[in-house]
Amino acid sequence: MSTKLFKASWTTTLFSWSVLAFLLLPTLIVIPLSFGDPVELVFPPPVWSVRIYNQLWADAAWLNSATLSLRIGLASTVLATCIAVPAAYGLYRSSSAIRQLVYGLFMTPAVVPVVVLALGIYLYFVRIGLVGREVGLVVAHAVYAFPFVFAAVLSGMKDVDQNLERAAHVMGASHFYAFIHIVLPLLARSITAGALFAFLMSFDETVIAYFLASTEMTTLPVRMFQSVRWDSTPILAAVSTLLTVLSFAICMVAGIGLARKSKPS
Amino acid sequence: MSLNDDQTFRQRHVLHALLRTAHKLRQISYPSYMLEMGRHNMSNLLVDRVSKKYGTVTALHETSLSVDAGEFLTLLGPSGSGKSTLLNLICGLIDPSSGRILIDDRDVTREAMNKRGLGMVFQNYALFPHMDVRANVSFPLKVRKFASQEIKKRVDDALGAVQLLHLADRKPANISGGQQQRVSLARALVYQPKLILLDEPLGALDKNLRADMQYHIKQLQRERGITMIYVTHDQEEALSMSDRVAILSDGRIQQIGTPSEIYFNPTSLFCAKFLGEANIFSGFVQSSAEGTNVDIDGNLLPASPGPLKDGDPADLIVRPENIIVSHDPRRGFIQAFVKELAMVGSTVKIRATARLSEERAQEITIQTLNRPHMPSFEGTFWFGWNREDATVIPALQLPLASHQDQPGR
Ligand SMILES: Nc1ncnc2c1ncn2[C@@H]1O[C@H](COP(=O)(O)OP(=O)(O)O)[C@@H](O)[C@H]1O
Ligand SMILES: [Mg+2]
Repeated sequence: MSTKLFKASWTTTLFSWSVLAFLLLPTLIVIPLSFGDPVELVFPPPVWSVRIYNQLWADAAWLNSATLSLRIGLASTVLATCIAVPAAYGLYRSSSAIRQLVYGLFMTPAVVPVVVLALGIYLYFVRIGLVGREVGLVVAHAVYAFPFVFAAVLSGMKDVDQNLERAAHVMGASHFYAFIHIVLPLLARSITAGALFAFLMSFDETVIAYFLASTEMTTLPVRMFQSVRWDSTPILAAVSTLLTVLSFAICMVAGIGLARKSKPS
Repeated sequence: MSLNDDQTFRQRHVLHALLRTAHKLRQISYPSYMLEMGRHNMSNLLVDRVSKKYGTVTALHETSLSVDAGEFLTLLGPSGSGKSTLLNLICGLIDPSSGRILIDDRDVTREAMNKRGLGMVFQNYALFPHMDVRANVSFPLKVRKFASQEIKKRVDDALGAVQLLHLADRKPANISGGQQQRVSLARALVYQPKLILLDEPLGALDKNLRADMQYHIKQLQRERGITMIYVTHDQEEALSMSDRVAILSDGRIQQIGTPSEIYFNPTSLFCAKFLGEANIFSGFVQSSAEGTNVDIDGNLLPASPGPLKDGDPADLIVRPENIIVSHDPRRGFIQAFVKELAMVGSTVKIRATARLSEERAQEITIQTLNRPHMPSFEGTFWFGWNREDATVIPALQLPLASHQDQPGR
């Protein structure tokens, strides 16, 4: 095959960058906006300042939402990870005939439309009284984020040679000891990457959080959504900027982690 | 006159004869498992009528085996013959379909792998990639909750034994294959298991390194009095390292014995051919005043006594190095013509066509010591062998009555 095919000419380069710009610019436009006028959102901003950020720090409702999102994100990530790691390990080592079926079932939260998932969870939580409660949203987000940790760990299991566990057993280690001292360290990168994605999923999630929200329990994305509809405060631009930066940072860290895992030294 | 009837050869023959007698005595009409039970007293491991089936596939047929304390036993066989299955049954990685396994008189058949107290060395080393060499070797001691000074002392000792102390801080990925295998060996030694299982441990190493490691493993085994069960498909490795060798094929132990027993007295054509070159002459058993013979078209070839009666179709097996070569016709010797002659350092390898009778010729292989006065073989010579160096086994196929071509096996 000719190498020409792979050599980027300036036209293809330009094209790629244009597509990227088209995808990214609407997102990035909030960044200059957030450093603009704290009364009205105008592009380009007539003056540059950090006054919108000062407003945000002073607004208890926004800060409450932010800490709530953080809490729920952390708790649901821990919950999802604690379930997904043993599930992925067990399924990977299983030789059961229904392996594929179980895999499919475990991935459903990522496949079903979020609205459908949210509706299902809402109807169920209404019956058991979990609507409007933090623990309910933690469980719901754990379900929602589970497939991402699960898939990351499952792919990480390819690098955990079963002979290593056998060697550990022969040398006297129990299954649990070998899991803790051999399997988990070898899965560390996959687990971290999966957990970071899970956190991001929860932190950004709007639909489920909207269904389960109450006046005391409004996550950051839900508050943004409401704000867009009712008051369109410039604080939105600051929050969006912070969220974008956070998402980028987490994606970079997780992406680098996964990339390094697939290329062992 | 013969070229290799010197002192050492004679001594070796006497030794073989003794070994054979001992072997025969052990074989008298007991089922094999009873024999193995009889050796039980000083045994470290007893495999009692163990088998393993996977659905309709039998990976290992009913097998009995007893291994003495301090013994080096090799399981030798082609790929798929059940070597790993037998080893994995012993270590508890797989459960037997039938039978019992006893270690130090303790029935461990239903015991978990981590309770059996064995050591194991894997072909792919199975070193923990996230731990450095020292942490790898410490692992079994940490599992056993040893004190940290004791761990350090023992790990230093084990790493010293495999000459790797200077690499203790390296990760497995940063040392060579041979060094990795030595770490793996140190890790198996460090908690002093009485029995160490090795599954083709040198399979991934190149030839020079293999020889080095063979010596190393053997030395450690002898010094420390460890019982080792060693799996290989390399005949030379098996013969040079082992106290006893078990030859496996098709999920069965075909023959078990000391290296010289199995090499010089194979009990089947498979074993004879698997262990190296063998001259095989097919005929019928015919006793004479001197002893057992194999009759080929009226020509009586001498053999040591076997479990056959006169008239039975039989194969006579002689190793190339047991053939005696003469320049003059001798009683009972067979005439042959040199086809090819190659000097391999201290030995000479000859391929020749033997005239077994008026009608029948067969290709033979001879290996004999190279001597300064070795004449170049031109044309004809005569060859024979000492009676005790030839073994008869029942022939599976009837020998062809008389023809130039050989029975096709
Ligand atoms: N898990 C298994 N399922 C089905 N057949 C197996 C399994 N393990 C081994 N076998 C079969 O058992 C036979 C012996 O295998 P093995 O003990 O690994 O041979 P070796 O180690 O001598 O190469 C082979 O024919 C193999 O196909
Ligand atoms: Mg094998």
